[in-house]
Amino acid sequence: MNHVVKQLPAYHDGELGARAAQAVEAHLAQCEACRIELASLADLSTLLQVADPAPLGLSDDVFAAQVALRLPRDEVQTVSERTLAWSWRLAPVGIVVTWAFVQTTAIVALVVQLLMAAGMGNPALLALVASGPSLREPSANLANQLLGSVGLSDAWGTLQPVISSTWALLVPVLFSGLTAVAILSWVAVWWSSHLSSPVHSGQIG
Amino acid sequence: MTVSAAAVTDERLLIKRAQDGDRGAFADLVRQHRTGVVNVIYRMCGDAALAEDAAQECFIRAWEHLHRYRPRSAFRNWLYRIATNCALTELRRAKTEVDADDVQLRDERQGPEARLEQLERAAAVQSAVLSLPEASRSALVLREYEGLSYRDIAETLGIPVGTVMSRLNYARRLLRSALAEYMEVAS
Repeated sequence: MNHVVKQLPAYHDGELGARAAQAVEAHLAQCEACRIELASLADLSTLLQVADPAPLGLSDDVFAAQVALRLPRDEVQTVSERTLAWSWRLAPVGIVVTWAFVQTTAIVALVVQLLMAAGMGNPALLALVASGPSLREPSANLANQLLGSVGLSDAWGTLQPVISSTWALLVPVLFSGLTAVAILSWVAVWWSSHLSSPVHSGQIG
Repeated sequence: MTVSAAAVTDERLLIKRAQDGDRGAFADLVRQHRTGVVNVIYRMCGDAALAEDAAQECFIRAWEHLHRYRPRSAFRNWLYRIATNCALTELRRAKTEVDADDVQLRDERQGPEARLEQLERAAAVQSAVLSLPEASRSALVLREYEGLSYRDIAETLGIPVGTVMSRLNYARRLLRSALAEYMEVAS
């Protein structure tokens, strides 16, 4: 005979599904050992109730008043504080999206430059890219004008490739580093506040 | 333990108002849950005065972190989780022992011998519960004294339902052994 000892606590607590409960009941009808086991569980539950609940020294109103007196005086967050809190929560998403956008833009720009340098690609598209507004164009024009004003207008032609390649290499690296620092700082702050929450401040072993 | 839909709605309204800073609404929540919270802590630590102090501390922590509560879990479970942690913190701080004088008699009409016997049984039960490992004790208190379902206990303690069952079985096995002389049905 297969006893149902393992299912009995859940049956006793009313936690078994209807079908499982019926199977246990069918077994109990013909098994004295399991009936004694179930009766023992019920007996224990009854015995545990002998210990009275906590003797409440204060009325509910007095207790609530005492709690109210001990509550910190800080006001609950205002709407702007809540908006700030939500912005803080969404900050990592914003950082990652910005990082992905800048990286994608840099990669696309690099590919276009390589294609142009190799004389490849759709001439019409390359011409469009070449004639389109460039982020670096205003700064290049400004540098050219400044160097021209001090009599070094030819120097720009020599310096431009060096500056461009250094710039193209440094900016993504620096930007990735700053992004990583920002994300790690956010995680550190979040983790420290998470540990101080009441739900996680105690350990249930 | 059945809670009516109207009571749940009322409680959600109170929680919402309390989250918006309404101290009166929070006082109503304190009145509603005070007995349960004090009992959970009392069953965990066995000291009535300590339980009342720890319960106040529990409600203060709840107020401070109320904005983090989300209605997807029962407020009672969230509160009992804080209460359990408060009880464990107090236990580690005070390491209190059960005092039989704290155990009050339920039926004052009984004769002196019967009263003495009941007092002895109550003290033995409380002592046996307090001697359980903390993890099993938490599960047992929430089940036997607060009537929480396995799922609610799992949510309150932050453990899987299977672990709740194994902790309960372990606690009951220990209690049946410790209280064998007081049990009518021999296991």
